[in-house]
Amino acid sequence: MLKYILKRVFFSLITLWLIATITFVLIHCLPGDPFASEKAIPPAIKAQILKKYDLDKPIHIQYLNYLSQLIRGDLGISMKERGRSVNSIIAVHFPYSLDIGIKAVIFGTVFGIIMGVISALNRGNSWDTTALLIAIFGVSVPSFVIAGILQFLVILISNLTGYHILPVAGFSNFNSTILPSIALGMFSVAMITRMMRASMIEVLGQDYIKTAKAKGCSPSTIIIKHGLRNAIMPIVSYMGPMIAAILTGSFVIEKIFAIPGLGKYFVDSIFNNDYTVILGVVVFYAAFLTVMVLLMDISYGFIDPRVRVHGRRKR
Amino acid sequence: MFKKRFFLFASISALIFLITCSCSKNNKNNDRKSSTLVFNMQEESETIDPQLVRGETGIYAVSVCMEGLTRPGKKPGEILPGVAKKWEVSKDEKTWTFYLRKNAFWSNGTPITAMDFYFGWKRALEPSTGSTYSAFLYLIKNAKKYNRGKIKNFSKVGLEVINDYTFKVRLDSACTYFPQLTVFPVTFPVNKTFYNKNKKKYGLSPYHMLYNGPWKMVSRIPGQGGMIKYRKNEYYWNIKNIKLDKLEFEIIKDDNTAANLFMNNQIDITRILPDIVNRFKDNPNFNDNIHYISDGAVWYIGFNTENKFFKNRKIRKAFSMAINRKILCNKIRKDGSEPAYALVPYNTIGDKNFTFRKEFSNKLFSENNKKARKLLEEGLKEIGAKHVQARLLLNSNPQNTKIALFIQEQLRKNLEVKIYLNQTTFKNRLQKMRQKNYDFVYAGWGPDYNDPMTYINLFTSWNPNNNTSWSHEKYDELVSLAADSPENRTRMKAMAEAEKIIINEMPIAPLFFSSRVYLVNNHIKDLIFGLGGKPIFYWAYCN
Repeated sequence: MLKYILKRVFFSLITLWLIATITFVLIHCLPGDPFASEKAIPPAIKAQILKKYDLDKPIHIQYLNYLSQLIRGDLGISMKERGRSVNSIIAVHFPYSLDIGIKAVIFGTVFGIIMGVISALNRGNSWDTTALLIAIFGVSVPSFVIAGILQFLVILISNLTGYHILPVAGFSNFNSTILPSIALGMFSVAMITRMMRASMIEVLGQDYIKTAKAKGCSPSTIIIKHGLRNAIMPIVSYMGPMIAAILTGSFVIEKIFAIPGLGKYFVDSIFNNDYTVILGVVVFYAAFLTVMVLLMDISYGFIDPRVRVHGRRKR
Repeated sequence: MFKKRFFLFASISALIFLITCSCSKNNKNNDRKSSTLVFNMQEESETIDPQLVRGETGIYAVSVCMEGLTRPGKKPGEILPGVAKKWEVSKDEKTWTFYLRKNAFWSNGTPITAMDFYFGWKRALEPSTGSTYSAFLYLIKNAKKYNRGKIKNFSKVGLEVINDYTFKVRLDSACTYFPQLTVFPVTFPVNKTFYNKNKKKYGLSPYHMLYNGPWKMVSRIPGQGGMIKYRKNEYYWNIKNIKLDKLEFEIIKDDNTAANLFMNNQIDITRILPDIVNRFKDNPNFNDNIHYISDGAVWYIGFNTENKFFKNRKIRKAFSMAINRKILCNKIRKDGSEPAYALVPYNTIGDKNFTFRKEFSNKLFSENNKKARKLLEEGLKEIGAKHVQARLLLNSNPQNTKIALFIQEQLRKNLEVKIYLNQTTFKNRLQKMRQKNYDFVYAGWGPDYNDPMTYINLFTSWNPNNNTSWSHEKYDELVSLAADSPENRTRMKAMAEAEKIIINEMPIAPLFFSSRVYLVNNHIKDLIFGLGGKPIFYWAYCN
């Protein structure tokens, strides 16, 4: 197990190095200049600024400087928000993305699993149809449309009743995270419902469920202990990419709900040619993704008794 | 049995989720105090260091919590005393003496002295500071040389501290609008002792700054219902007349969200794109919340006069005459923008009580398709070409793209010229303009101060922002005359002459003077919109 983890960690580091290098090359190919503004900057001042950010040095020196900084965990200083370090940008803004991200993941998995189980147990009747309709809606309607519909509904309700149930946007308390989490998690609800339904139907048809029923196990024991635990495997393997997608893909939702998350920096820094922020955020997200995938792989071993790792994985 | 139990379990867990959602229900909107104002700033301010700030929003965020020698008044171009209670100017308009008020204090209670201004301006001009707005102070004697590292001795720069409350500024040339410049953040004072203590963090967090404006910044942390929060600064000299206790600046980029928040009463003032104005126009509850505010910018097509086609004056004129500006303003912009038949916008002040445009003619040229075609024909003959091949450079956003498509269509219809669009990012557009790597460009220019000079100066041969490669001896002469003359009447006349040359030569074709659409909550009174169409809260109060 340890050997397996070490090997994976090593490969993750190589992946990160490759990502950092490729991004470094790409941003220096970007047209435009991080310090350009409508009013021309006097050349002497510009030279001073370039010097401050080491941009006056040859590109390979810049690259080596950057790598050595990266190894020390220092992501540099933003070029747009002058003086602000990228580390502090991530430290301040990522928790907001994480907050709605985690809530979306919880919302997605809890509701997805419940709806999946309900429709599997009620195959063919109206419960099943309703759950599937919601699932189809979630898969086919993009999150930003759902976000707009939710905002519209909130305004409609507060206009009709004169009572504000939920804030339309902004980030202040738990209430303000409800709408963005729903909009962000809707796709996962739909995916998980469909996967859960399929795998639950398969599991419920297995012989050992019949045996359990014959033994006289209570229905809840059968569903939770024998059914759910076996049916949940595909969901676990889907969780890794799902968490990564939710956390890196929350940009649009953050913009619509005016949440001060990291997604804005992920996208805006490219328009601003803010080299250090682009690199910092990309490397950070890449590290986050690799860690997530690694954790999911390891967690297989704990959940599924068939995947006990002895230096070798089974799918 | 089996199913029933499961449903019980599922519905209970769903209920628990919903209850936790609604439990924390509190009347967030109702506890908004009447003296708090929430404004959507749209963009984040990059820093609040007055000498380093460079974006529009940053400049704005600093101007709320700090004050220079002077401050903007209610009317366009009006200047009121700020930290300086009065000022004197020598006859040649070259030596300005500012008398500071003795009751002006920093937010920690120390008095503001002339030394704070001296230190702040020195910091702006210090090459190592890297202040992008240092050129604002270039009017001061030797300031440019010091800033560019040509002289090392700061005492040669025309700044002098006579005593704690008297600050003298010597200029290289006459400048009648100098008090307008001291409204700008780069001229704000910096307390030396405080700065030296907080050098590394100065301007990065609200606690590493000293304020001298009517409000002080208390938080700049995202979340908690407002990105930037200001509270009244009890040390401000005129605090008696400041009515708003708290200001909260939100950063909501998405226009639809901003509009939704406004409708839900979560923000009081926001700017929106004209595309969603109709949602409010048709709604009787909101139609009196819409305000069209001129922002003083002129938008134009700039020609690269090194280009094979656009080096010809007749072709430039033909292009300009073939675009119908009225349709552009009424059907495409739809935000109250006005057609531009000159360079200097309407609200710019002129001599004494008149605006510049009122004093001189409004319309220096007009559209004429027939004439345009004739001019194009002649122009093409002169350069020996059959048809024009050109690409219009623009930074793409939904509004700009619409306008570019309109220009493309107008040129095709009225001039039978097919042009192509070259869409790129804002920074890349600037880079291409500086490198003269474009045919013609859709661009705009906003004012730094309220005087025709801020626009006229742009196309002189020595201005680094003149990206058209156009130069004109007579024009340069007139601008120099206007810049050096202490007499307002002569200045205005010279600038009007210069403007005529621009229109006659057409290195740029002015399209419109832009406006912004704001939604303003009706309970806010006495809100003023200043230079650049930005709200000023100094006199505002909530009813």
